[in-house]
Amino acid sequence: MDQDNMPGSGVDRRGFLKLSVWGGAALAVGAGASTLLTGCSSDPGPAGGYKHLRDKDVTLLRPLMAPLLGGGLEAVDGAGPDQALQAFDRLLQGGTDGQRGQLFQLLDLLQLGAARWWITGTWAHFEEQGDAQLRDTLAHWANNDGGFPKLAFKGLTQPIVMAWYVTPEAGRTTGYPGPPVVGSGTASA
Amino acid sequence: MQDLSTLKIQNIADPWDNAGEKWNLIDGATVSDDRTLEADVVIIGTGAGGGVSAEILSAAGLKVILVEAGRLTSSRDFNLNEGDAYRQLYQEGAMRATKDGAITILQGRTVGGTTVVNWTSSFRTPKETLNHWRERFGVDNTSRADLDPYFQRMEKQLGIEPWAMPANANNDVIKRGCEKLGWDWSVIPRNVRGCWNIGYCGMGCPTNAKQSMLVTTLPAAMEAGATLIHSARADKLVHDGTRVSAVQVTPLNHDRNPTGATVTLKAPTIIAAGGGIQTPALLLRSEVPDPDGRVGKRTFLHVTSFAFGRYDREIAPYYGAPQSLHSDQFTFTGGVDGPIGYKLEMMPLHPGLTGALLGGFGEQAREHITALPNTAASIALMRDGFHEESPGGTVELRDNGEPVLDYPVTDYLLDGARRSLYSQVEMQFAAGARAVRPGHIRAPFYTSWAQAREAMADLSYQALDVPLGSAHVMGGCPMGDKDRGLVDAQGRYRHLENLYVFDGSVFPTSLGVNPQLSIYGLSARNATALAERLRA
Repeated sequence: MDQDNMPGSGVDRRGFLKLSVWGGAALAVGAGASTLLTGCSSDPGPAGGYKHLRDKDVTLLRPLMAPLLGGGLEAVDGAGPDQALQAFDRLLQGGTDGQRGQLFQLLDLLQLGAARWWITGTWAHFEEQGDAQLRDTLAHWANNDGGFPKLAFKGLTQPIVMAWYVTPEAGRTTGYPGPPVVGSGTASA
Repeated sequence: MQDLSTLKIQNIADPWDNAGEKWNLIDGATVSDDRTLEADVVIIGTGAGGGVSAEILSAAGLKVILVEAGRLTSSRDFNLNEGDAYRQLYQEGAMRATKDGAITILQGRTVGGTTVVNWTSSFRTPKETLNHWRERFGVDNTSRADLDPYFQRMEKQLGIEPWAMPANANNDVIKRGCEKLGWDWSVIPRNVRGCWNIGYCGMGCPTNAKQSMLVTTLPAAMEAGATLIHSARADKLVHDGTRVSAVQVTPLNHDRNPTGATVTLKAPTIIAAGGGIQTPALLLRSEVPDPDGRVGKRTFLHVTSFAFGRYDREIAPYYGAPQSLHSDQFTFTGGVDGPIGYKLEMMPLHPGLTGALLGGFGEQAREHITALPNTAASIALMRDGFHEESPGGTVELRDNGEPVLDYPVTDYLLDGARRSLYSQVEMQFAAGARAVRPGHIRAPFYTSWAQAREAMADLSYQALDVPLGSAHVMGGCPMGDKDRGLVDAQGRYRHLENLYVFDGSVFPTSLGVNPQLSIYGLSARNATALAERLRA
């Protein structure tokens, strides 16, 4: 087969990877990749209380947490979107600069109305959508058969869901009783 | 209901207690001044290849320095918290993926490498694989007869024996399903001594039952006088095109950022043992002589598909030895180099990894994950690299020098993914599953094999439709004759006279079995020969 095409995805693989993945996508929606997508966590720097996520990321992602986790947040006493974002930020601490840079490029891309339209089927910023609309947005995005939206959905939602359920509190809501106790203390959060 | 959450694990002897006082240990995070260290041999990486080599060379009286990018953590630190484990013990915090995002890669990043977090399955390299290497790549003197003495030695040293306790309910799916279907299955040999059977191999063994490099070869090497510098990244080999004169190392602080110092390691013999991805990346950053442009090419993954079964009875897939039974029904069915073959195993499920692998969102994803206690997860490890349409991936460098693996998901591989999903779904129904879901973003839980077989024919099998993973990175610096190999069968790099590669990156293809024992045996053979030459 022609290895320059991701099978059936309709994405030209070589063109897709020529720039960074998300930078290429920005060009496709008409954004200036070099100026808009810094992909750098230190610019403008992390939000207060975070090591990696920036203010604009927190604002972008906060409304998505509850519909994405579908009852997983509410199952933990006193937990809300910010706890999920904090968990995501802690997961990112294990990553590398290059890898986080890719994520920030995707998040920068999702700040653009045209990109949101292309990827999620809606122009509106997530902050301006109600719960029902956000569920529709996620459903539309998850069912989008375009190679790029599929990659974006996996690239963003997989680590967020993983980050939430690695927390002991959320882990226990799955029916998992938790790990044995090591040493004299208890496992940290 | 199984519940180990009140089990207390304490008073476990840890070989690294007081390591800073009894051994030559340097924590890179504390190094703020430039320094140069000298030895007979520098070994880059402390996983399966580096650990075995360090013990053998140290025992031969050679002065060894080990350098490791991960931090030193040991049983005292392993708290069985899934998030802490990913952050501290895995490459890229367990979020490593191939360049186009299609394949997730679990690989260790700590003193002891992946041996600290693997699931303990220990197989000798299949004869079919070694024969293929001889015929197709000119790898000589590496038959099973050549390697068996070294496999035997490592099996004895690491307590490798078929698991004697009953399989947990998750692994029992293999036995029940395969027996009903008349398929092959057998017990997995594991590298454990006095295993508590709790199921946390992937988070660092808290009881030191797992005979990883962390508690076997590395303490032996330290006791024999080796020096370990951890939290220190080997950035470049300094060379003149014929010999390596030094390794340039960047010490890292607790956030894995450079401390600002540079450590220079000098030795007449250098061993690269960073494993697949890291060793080729080091060679690429170093711009080593590579006349045919082979460094980093032909990197293989045992690309793995998944299937989830729901059972009426409790499975508790988070507890118990994570892998104890396997099936070779489909491993070599199509011959060595025909349509891709796959080995069937099970994987342990803890909530975080489960959430990531199940995918989806919202109420449905929540319903799936809250069925965790009754969920089993099978995996199929595809043997990549044996067919011309399976060229594997290529290690590339990001602008900042970090490696990234470009691994195109080919139609050849997707055909294997499709067949392997059918096999897994059939096996899980035969094992008594009430519902089974193949790992596919559009597939629901099917309620019968007949329904699944029909519906799965309508699914598309494309990259990103089928979630794929890997826990076995191999190749990128292959053994072979001078026309086909970057290193010879003794692990000597063909284009730099004092550089050796002793790790999984030397495999010319994938293996068809979990790789740790193959790396141990081959490294033991080659390190023994090297020690003899260096002492002569």
